[in-house]
Amino acid sequence: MALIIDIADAIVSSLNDHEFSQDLTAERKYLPIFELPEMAELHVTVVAQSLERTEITKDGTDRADVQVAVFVQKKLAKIEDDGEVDDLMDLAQEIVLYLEGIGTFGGAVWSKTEHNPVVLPEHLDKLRQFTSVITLSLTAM
Amino acid sequence: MTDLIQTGVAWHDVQRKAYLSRLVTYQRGLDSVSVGATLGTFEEEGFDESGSIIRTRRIDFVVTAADLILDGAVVKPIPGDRIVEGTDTYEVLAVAGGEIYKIVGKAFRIHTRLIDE
Repeated sequence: MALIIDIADAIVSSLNDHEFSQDLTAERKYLPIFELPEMAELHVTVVAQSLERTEITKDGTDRADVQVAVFVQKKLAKIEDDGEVDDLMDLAQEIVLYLEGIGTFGGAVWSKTEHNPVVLPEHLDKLRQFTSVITLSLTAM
Repeated sequence: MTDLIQTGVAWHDVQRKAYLSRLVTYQRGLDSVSVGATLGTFEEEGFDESGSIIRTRRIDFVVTAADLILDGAVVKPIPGDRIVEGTDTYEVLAVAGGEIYKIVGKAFRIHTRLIDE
């Protein structure tokens, strides 16, 4: 299987093997497309995003820089209750710290996390839905 | 002198409610009221920010403003209110520009999106 898919699958397995403050089942998708009524339940979606190979020695050894995104999404149930958003923010941070703590997925080593947007304003405003995107950068030699 | 426009608007709202509406339940928290509503604009939308696409079905409900009585008082729609129509539940949500509803004659045209079916 493609390297980036092995890495994404390893992230999914790690997420599903851990107990977070909220029950979650992560899944890998090529494109996270959902209908709004589905979002009443928490969705954690792992998406392989990019892979860049760089030759690092003259004998042809190369390095693969990979980016994998983790989407944390849920339609808010309560009206004007920032507590629900706070809880989901806590969960997103838990996921970040947990994945950084593991550090290695499918032979690739974590190097950077971008948590951006922490909350997607358009989804919150127009759909009252929490969407947070965690992008992990990893390196495989 | 009779205000023909005002009379016409009132007549139109009565006719709309009598012949072009169905009974729906308008909810805010634990309060609810049954009202006759006309289903207006229907539109499928997709929100595709940050690589995640959320598909929604948007429907406007036209409801006589004076019928929207919750907890003994006439109210205006606010985000998070819900409208139950048959087995479908819609949530009052803003459209582009932040508008929740617009006033059409003696009625509210309320913007909603399907959240449960």
